[in-house]
Amino acid sequence: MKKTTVLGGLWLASWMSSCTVGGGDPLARIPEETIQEYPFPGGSPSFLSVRDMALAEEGLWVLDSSTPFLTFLSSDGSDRAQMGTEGDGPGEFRFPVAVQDIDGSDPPAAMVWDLGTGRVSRFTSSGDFLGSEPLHAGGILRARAGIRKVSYANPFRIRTLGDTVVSNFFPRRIDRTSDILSGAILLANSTLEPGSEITKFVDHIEPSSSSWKEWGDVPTWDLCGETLVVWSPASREILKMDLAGRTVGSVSLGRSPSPLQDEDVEGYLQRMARLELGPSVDEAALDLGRMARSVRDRFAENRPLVVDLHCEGNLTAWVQTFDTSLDPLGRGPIWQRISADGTSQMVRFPGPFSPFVFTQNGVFGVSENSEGSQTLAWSPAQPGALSPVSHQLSLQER
Amino acid sequence: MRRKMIFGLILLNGLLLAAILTRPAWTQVFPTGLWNCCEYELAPEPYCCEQCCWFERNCKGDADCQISAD
Repeated sequence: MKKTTVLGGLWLASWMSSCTVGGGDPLARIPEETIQEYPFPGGSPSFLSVRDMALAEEGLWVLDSSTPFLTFLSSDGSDRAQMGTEGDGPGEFRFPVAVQDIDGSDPPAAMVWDLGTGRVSRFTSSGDFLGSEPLHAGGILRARAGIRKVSYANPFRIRTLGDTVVSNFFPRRIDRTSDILSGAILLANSTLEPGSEITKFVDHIEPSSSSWKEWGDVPTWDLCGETLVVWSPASREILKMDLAGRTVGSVSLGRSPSPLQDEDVEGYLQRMARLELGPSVDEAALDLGRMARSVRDRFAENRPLVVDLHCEGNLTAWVQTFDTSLDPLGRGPIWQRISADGTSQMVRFPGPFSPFVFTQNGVFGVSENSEGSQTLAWSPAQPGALSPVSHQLSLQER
Repeated sequence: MRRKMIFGLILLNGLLLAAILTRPAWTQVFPTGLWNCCEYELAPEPYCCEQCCWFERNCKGDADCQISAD
């Protein structure tokens, strides 16, 4: 009897260890990419919190959340300019949200959309202010200023293709993640005057979906050349659409959502408590575990699969996977790179790195330092060796 | 009868005390003032944001937010 018990115990121990060592989350085995400070001569300027970046042939535009709002760094280091102070005057900003390179301009120039002053402004790469125009009343996006502090979703995406602008439009103010679903992706001009609709966000979730709750899966998109690439939670596919809204292809993401955990909700509430209560949060001695259980029905049943999407050139999409290990809002360090032929690779960036611009040669982003400021960083690509976790996804052309 | 009544009142007081003590987290939050639910749009107009607070709802309307600062 004693012998049976000992053998049973040994078998149970070996079975448990095989579960923990060999099994577990495959994403946990993805090695971390290396990042380095981008070798701009003279070093990278320091930023507070970068909101957007745009790559031009001649260099990189960086849009920060504080003055000087706009920085241009030429690729060869011969040119560097910072511009855009705070205010309502010419060339000044209140809440700039997006920057895009003006294609073919000489000298290089960029457009910046500022929803605080309600204007779109143009600057050259040497810092000269070229002019500005008021935004069209129908295109002004109304949002809670701190939406990026409370939601993984980004309502401020604007992309250009020549004179054509593609942007989000919302009929109401964006206060929470689910408000994104009220909007659509539209064609516009540079003043964001609404043109024809490409697709509605609500068409990409199932009617009975829990996406209307916090942490629901909401669509996100980018412009890959002339193709709009949209994450569609309803079909769990990356859709390729033309600018008339026709789906011309799709790639299945090859992953299923996992259930949202009480720990996810607790981490989220901890972040919200710090935001809402400020320094008094520690005195409040909140029982967040109990609160997480009591407000569980205000959250989606499953974790979202995708929280952001960026294009690499015209053919490759990168999607950021939901993960609360580093950011309680779910902006995780793991990205899935999906090539036009359906090849998928999982890539893990280091925790302090936030990628913005994806190219064949590597990824531009910012790295947060211990003082809380950001510097430009770069993760060089090593073709074919980004990650050993690579597989083929199902690809459909229509 | 009188002893029973006194005992009952003591018990009631104990229950009231327990009820007060079980809510310290929320009551300690009140002195933070009109701050939590006041939000700013991109244009600098503050407003009282419905369902934006997870903790204390402490503004009843946009006017409450005129005096707030964060």
